[in-house]
Amino acid sequence: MLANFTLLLRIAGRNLWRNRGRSLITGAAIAAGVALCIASFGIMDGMSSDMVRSITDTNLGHVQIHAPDFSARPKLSLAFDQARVRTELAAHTVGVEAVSARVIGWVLAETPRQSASVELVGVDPIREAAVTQLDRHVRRGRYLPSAATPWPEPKALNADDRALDARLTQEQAKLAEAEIAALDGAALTPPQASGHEAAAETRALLERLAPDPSAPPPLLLGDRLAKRLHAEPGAKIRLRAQDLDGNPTSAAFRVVGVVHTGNAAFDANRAIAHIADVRHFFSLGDRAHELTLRLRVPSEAPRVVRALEGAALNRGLSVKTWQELRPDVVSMVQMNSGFTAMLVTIIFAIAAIGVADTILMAVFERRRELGVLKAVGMRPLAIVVLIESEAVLLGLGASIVGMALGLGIDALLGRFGIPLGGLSGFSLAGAAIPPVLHASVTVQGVFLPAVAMLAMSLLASLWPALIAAGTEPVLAMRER
Amino acid sequence: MKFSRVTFLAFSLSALVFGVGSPARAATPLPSSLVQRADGVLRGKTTAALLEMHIHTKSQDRTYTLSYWGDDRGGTSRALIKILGPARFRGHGTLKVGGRLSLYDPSTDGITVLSGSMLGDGWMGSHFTNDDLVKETDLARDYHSRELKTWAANVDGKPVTFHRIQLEPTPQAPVAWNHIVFELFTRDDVVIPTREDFYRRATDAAPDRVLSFEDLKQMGGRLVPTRLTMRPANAPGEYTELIYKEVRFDADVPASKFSDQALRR
Amino acid sequence: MSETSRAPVVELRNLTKTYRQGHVEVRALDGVALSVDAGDFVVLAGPSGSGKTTLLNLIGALARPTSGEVRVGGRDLGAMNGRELALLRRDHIGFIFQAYNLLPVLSALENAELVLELQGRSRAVCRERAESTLRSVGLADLVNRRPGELSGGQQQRVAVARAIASARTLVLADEPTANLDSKSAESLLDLMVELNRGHLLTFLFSSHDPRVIARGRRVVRLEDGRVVADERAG
Ligand SMILES: Nc1ncnc2c1ncn2[C@@H]1O[C@H](COP(=O)(O)OP(=O)(O)OP(=O)(O)O)[C@@H](O)[C@H]1O
Ligand SMILES: [Mg+2]
Repeated sequence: MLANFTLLLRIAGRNLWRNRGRSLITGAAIAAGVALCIASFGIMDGMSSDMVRSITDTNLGHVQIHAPDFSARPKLSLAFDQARVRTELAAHTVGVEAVSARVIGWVLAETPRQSASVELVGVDPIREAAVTQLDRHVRRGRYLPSAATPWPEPKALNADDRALDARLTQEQAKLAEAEIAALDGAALTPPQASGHEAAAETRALLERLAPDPSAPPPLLLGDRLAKRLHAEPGAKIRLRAQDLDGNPTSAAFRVVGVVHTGNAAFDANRAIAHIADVRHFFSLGDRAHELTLRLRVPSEAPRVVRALEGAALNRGLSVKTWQELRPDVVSMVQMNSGFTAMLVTIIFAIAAIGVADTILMAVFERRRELGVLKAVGMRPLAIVVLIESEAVLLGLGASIVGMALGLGIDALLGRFGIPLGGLSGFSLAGAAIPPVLHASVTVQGVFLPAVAMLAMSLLASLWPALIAAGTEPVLAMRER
Repeated sequence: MKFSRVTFLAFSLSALVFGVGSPARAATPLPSSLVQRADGVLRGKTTAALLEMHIHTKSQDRTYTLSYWGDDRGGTSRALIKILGPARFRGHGTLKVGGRLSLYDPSTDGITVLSGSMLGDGWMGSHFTNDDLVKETDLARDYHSRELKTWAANVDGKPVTFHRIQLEPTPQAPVAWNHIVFELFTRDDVVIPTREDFYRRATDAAPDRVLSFEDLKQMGGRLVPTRLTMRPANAPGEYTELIYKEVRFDADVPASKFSDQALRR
Repeated sequence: MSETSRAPVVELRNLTKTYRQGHVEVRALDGVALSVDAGDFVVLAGPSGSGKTTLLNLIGALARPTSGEVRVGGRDLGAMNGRELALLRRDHIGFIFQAYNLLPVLSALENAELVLELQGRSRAVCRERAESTLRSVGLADLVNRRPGELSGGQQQRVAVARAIASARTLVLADEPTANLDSKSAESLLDLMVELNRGHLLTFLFSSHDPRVIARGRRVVRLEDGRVVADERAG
């Protein structure tokens, strides 16, 4: 159908070579465009996946299960019987790599110098590390030991103790009554003597009712929290809160490590301890507030959610993907790719103009030659193919060079990154923008710009090619 | 002269009685003043009380014996609550000085200052919030009052006038409620609250929780309800009762009662 | 080819071509009638602007007449579409231009192969025909040179090779010697005469060089777009 295609390619290639200066400049522009696109995709993909990982791999996991209201309004009382849920989950764990149960409650943390409101999270150290790799984020000190702190079980009081307790209360009430009666009348000073004895007896009763742990349980702190509390590994921190029954609870914990996840909300507010210790602290029994799942393939989250939903709903629980839990991060990632797409479009538009210009110039310069080709019988379609071949050859060569260049930039950025300097380590909606942007290479991010650039070259040169095809053959006869 | 003096005196007296006194008798009292008086029924310039608190939940039944000291004489209202028993909680105390709330835990000898956001949390596992116990909000000051309904009834065989008043927070009031429906009755010159319904949202058909006032007794020289019961709507069957055993109003409670030392003692 | 050798290769009837430039009409050809027999060797003579190039354009199907009829190989060009005209040019008409018009990016051999390639001949046939044609025009040693590396005469020989390599019946040449020195012109004419004899190719070329005109077997003179003389030599 077409006149010998290799002939056209040969002519096209040699024409490019004939104007190698111009071809080189245009090619370099295309190559730079492709490299820039690849680098942009690389950085944006890197940034997006860093951002996503900064939430999924430090805290969120890929799928979470909790009481429906828990995400919106976390409350101690929204704990559920996680052991039974877990066994039900076991039937649906295709693609689930690890599951971590957590208990979560807000506590007041006190050091001799500071106090702060802290989100205390109880985790199984081994499971948590499998889900969020928390162990890798320890900056100072060490990770939580896998064993919980021995914590004596509370015992009920016997009849004698109860009688003693009632008597102590009675005495205290009497004293208060006397104190009230004595107001205004300075004469009657309430007796104070028995106060200390009562305190000692009360302490003895208390040791049975609410025993302390055998040693301060180990605790991890987010680095910003640690800074706020002036607490480093080794420091003792007293945590106070209300337990599940609303009773005041307090215990001293020992800071064993400081973590930095890059997730601002995490680093500034979180304290992490062994789940058993935190359950004791909050009197939570065997319950948990949250099951966090890590999937082998993160993008399978919706499928896993569908698989688990039935069983979870039966238990009155909700299963959510990280995307559902953090739509803000999802939209940020989308915004990110939107920006990239815009940038890439601009780069492409500029490259398109460059290609169209170069090819158009080549066509106008060679009108006589094109006339000759038509005069000797070349069909218009073959001329279109000829001109397109020039554009595609140029685009192809430039794209390959650009791809290599882009991969090189990505590799450099992957290794060394772009330090963000003043913007360092800030976070958007709790997802960390890493202090250093690292490019990540995806097949799509590399081939898409190259292929698109090729397609663009093809398209941009269509107009010059049509002009070329319309060349009048009589031009060949014109004298110079 | 004498006569005229007597006449003047009589005139002045009658002016006092009729001119000043009669409008107070004839006009219905403002709802806001009713609310103010009902709200303060268990508060004097100072208040000292001995109370019991029964907490009934699905998982536990518990009784605290408490002493309460309050002082509203100065610019900042102050209050101290101490738990006298049982052993598990003995010595725990709550001190309020103005908007600042401190909790004392004798087992660690630690004083915790509560942040404002924790004022709405339940106090020591009860259905009363920290704020309820120490009354930082002032119904008459923080809410607009609007009479919904009045009706006549008998209480303890005596005729009384009931008022149902809707309270809506002023824009800047730091309160958690969308509106409160306050029910009270007046008899002679006393105002007794009977019921407060707390609504979280404007559209709610049922209140979030209900506080009722019962067991009228003469105590501390006043007629006061001595049993306050808080019932949360989200946990049917659960309640917390606050029973006044002893109360004394307007005695001279020493300022030292509202110190960290007193909280620790 | 033996069939067409008797019949006229080119037949023109009442051929008129007017160029319109703004309001001015230029009548480049005015009622030209002409018939060229197969194997003839015809020179178009006439002063500058007489319509020689225009006539060749019409015969070569590079442009369409304003009126009148052009037949090439018995086919009426007026009844043919662009595609058919392109095929006609490719398969039956060879062009030699005053300005040589070789493709500068192709070697002598590739230029000579061009039309063969367009015809879709096999690589081997293209190579063989082009080489033998270049040999016959005396360029056997220069096949790999690019046009830029050849003299004008050599370039025009390559152009001749391109025009005849695919063994076409009609070769049109517009002042093929105008850019050549007299010696090169002479040898090009020798070549054309020889090709005309050997291959039974019909040559129709224009010139206003008397020495070139003298080599024509038949001389058609144009003036102001009309045929004013049609003489046969010897
Ligand atoms: N494209 C064109 N547009 C307008 N007029 C044209 C065009 N081509 C040729 N002419 C005119 O047509 C007439 C014939 O031109 P043509 O080129 O055929 O003459 P020629 O015999 O080839 O002349 P020369 O010997 O100078 O090459 C001239 O008057 C010329 O000006
Ligand atoms: Mg001419």
